[in-house]
Amino acid sequence: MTGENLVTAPKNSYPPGDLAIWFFILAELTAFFALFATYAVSYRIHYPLFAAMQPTLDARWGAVNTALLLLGSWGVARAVVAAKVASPQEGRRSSTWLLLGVACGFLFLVSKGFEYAAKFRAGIDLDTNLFFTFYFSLTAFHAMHVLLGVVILAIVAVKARHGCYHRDATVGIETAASYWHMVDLVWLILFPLLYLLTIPV
Amino acid sequence: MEDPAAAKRRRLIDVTALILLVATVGAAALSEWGLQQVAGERLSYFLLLLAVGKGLAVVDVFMDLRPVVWRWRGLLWTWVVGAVAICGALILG
Repeated sequence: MTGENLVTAPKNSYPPGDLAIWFFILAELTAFFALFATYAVSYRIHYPLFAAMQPTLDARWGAVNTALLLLGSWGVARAVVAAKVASPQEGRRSSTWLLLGVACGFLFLVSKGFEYAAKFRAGIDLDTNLFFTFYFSLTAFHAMHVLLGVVILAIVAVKARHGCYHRDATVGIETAASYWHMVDLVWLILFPLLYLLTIPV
Repeated sequence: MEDPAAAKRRRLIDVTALILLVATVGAAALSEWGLQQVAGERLSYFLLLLAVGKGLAVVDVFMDLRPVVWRWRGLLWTWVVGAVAICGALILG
């Protein structure tokens, strides 16, 4: 029977964490993909404007952002491994790794704040032109996801410190990690698209 | 004694993260070489490839999707490769 198969299907047939987060992740990825494609089409249509504006973005900030997110993602992946082998008394190790992810996410937001402040000081905002409308919309939308990820990781880190995640209970930490990796993955596409990829003149 | 499977997975995560981090720092250093036009262009393509690499790493290493059936892994792989290919093709024409 179909219902019986669903009940008896092995857990490793499903992605890590709660199944619901994967529907959320796929919905978010679809939204980001639509935004990326819209940006790419606009780039083609308004090439002179985009080609002139793109060099005004500081790619070094983007590289720092990338390194921070990769480092955070590494910490979160290690936290999941630590939780999977921990006894209920050994939750602290995964908590420490999760805090690395929280710190990296927080520093990402701080560096994004500095980047925006420099733009505002130069008189550039959302209404300056179409390129900067995309720039602020895409990066702010992503930064909101990072902010949510930082809050989620912080909550999970506190719970891990109290021994909530161990070899027999990893769904919560896997769910948070999956969300965080999705945020990281989106940035890795966003960074070259927005800051770097140019059409040779 | 440490679980060998966990130790293997930990090493895999470490190596993947290190490669991606070195690649990012290397790509950023490229832009500072002074050959702005050439280096900038190469950096663009390099980081786009890095995006694909990172996507695949997330799918298979960080997210631990290896034991998962293809209908789940395939969705993420499709997104990574599709997003890069379609946006790259639209911009580069």
